[in-house]
Amino acid sequence: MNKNILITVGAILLLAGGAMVGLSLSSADEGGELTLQIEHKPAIMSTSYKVHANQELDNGRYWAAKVLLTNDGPGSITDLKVSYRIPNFVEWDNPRPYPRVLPGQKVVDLYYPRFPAKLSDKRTDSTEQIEIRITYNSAGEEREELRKVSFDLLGRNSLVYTTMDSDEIINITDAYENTELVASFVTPDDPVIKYFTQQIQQKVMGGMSFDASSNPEEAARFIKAVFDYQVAAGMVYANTLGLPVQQGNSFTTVQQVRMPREVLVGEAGLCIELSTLFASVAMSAGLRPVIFLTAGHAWPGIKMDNGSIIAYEATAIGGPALGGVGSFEQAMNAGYENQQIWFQGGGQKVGGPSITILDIAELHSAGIRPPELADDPHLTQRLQDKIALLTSGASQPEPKKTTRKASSGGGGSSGGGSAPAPRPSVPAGFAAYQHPSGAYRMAHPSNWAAMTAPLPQMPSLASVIALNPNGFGPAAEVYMFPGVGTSDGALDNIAYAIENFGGYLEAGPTGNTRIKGANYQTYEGQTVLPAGVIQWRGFFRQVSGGTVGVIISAPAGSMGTYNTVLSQIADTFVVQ
Amino acid sequence: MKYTKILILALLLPTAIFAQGSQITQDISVKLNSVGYADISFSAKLNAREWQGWMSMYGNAQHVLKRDLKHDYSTIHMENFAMNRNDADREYTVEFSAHGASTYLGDNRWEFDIESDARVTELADGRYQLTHSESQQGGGVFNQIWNIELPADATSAEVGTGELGQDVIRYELPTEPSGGAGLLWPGAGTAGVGLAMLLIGFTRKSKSDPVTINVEPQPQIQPPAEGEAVVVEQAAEKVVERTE
Repeated sequence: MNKNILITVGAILLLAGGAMVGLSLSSADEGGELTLQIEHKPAIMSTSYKVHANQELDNGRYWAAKVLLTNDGPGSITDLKVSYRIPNFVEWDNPRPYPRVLPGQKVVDLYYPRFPAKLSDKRTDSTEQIEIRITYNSAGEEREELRKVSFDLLGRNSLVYTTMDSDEIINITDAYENTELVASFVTPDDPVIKYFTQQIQQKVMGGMSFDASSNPEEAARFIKAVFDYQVAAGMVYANTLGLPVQQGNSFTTVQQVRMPREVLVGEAGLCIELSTLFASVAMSAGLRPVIFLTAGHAWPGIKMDNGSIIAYEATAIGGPALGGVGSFEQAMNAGYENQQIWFQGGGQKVGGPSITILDIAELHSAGIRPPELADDPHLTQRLQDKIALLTSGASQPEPKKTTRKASSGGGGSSGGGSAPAPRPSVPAGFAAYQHPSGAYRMAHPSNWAAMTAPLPQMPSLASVIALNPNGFGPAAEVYMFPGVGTSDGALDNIAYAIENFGGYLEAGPTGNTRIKGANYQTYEGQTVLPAGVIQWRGFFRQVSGGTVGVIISAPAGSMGTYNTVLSQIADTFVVQ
Repeated sequence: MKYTKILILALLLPTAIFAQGSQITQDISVKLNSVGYADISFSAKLNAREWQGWMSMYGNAQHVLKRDLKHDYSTIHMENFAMNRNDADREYTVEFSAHGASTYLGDNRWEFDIESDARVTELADGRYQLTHSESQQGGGVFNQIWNIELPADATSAEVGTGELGQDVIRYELPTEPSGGAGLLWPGAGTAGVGLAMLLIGFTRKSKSDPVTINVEPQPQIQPPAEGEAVVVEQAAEKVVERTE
């Protein structure tokens, strides 16, 4: 090769190579600096172990640990991997890869431990650790960090009502933010519960029709069968309080709640335990159970296909030392009254402020599922013996009886399976009232004022009977809606009218009831007005040419005071 | 892969303010940047009743709103929270930065989770609009309109399905080094070859480069006769080819 060419090419290659090296050195990563911030739940309930494995549930809020990884360095971090384990319970999980973390970038990594099913056998609380292993590459250097945080792994009977930092708690909702996890104590698929349900259906009910979720009588018959069994078995209500416990920065109430199978065989339960037992059995029977929760009480019910709820007071089983055993009718009445109070915002009269109504099927479907429970032949045998003992002398199923519908009006003071006692048209101390058109009549306390069409802006309001005609107080209102063919439509009319007064209305159907032999659809709700909040119950029915409705109402918090007299007024209403 | 559905912010409107027939629309702006965080801003204009309900819960308690947002959207890291409200017109605006909103998958590919049952429209390159409606317990309807803006140099954006079945917007963004870092050894090799060629070039003759050999003049043995033409070779140069 020509020397000049050799020198020229050599020089070019040298320059090009030098440029490449220079470019490489100039773009070489200076390396990143990883900083970590770790949060973790102070306590995890064994019974809810499936919940903590579900990263899709409720926008991923049930993580066990949350790691914020920040690259504070001038260069990138590459091949970042984060993995976790809980020694003795969960092995190292598959590391989550982050191919590159740019300077200034923050990455949030969440840990959803997949606990083994054996966790449902965990009887006691223990302190465990979450280990976090982080590997990454910075400027060509492989690095690894290992961190550990401690948490309480609670036994299967511990129900912790909140894991929120105590400094952050401001209201009752915060203090009970874990309440939905009660649904994981409802175990319809437990073989012991399934067996019990079958026995109830076969030996106590003598068969159960498929339409129980749309037939209130059949639903009530199911409730009665469960209640009767519990009473016959000598099951008792045993109250204990939750214990305040410090967990991390949380100061929370931890309550010991036995699994339904334990309550069934142990034959004693708290209100929450009797509620989860009933809900388990009802769900196993194909019904849709709900649990009402206040800060100090719980009672179950069945949600019907039309949205109404038949509630009952599971603690009415009482006990010899608790004043005896209540009747089924008392249980139903008490459940109904509790429900009424709950909807009227008076939860504090039933143990404490209202928290929520748990729709168990909905929560299970969302992912708040119970633990896996293996069959327990010992428990099943005990149950079998007990049922055989109880049914041997009276194996005939209970005759099908009609029980009071949960949605019946009138405060639920009595009733049960019997028809309501006839009421006088005009009770003592009441005065008769008839609308000028003759469309309807009713009676009201003599010292209350009756007004006809008092609000020209609201023509559907035909009459108002009020204790205080010039101010805020208890009242009964009669509405007429010509041309409106449904109760919902009538309610919509009222809602629009209320809006014009600067207020709004919240309402929901609660079922049906009879007044003076006529069937009415019932609603409960509240009306929020600038002057205050009014709670009410409404009774609507379709009449020739439209819909008529009666609403009895009282300012928030005073419905309990006026409930009886308002119900008496409603009970006198007759469309002519 | 974590599941980071940040697109449900109904929380900001307590259920209680939804009355039968009411329609509330919340506008949300999401601007994604090049390191995966999103500047999020959402605003709504409420009627008197709705405003009263919102005020009672969050209007006078920014700390509660921030706390609830952090609690319910724990899959992101929130910074720069700010809330502004216009009492006169019953409007509010909430802003924050959501770190970890978009996830880097490698090979310059990024993924941003979106609400799965939203209607998605691509407005322009890198700009999407999502609309989502949800019925509320009180009987009203809550509408959300999302305007999502990908980073300016994002390309190949498309709506797809994520690892967990959630809807996502995927896009490409120059994230990996431009290639300079990979040139160190090739560059060094090239420079080495060039240097070797130079050294050889300077130290060896090439065949096109003539070599001069000086030859001593031959002694004159016989003087020429007078008048005879004589060729005298005073000196001669001999070209010798390199035989390398």
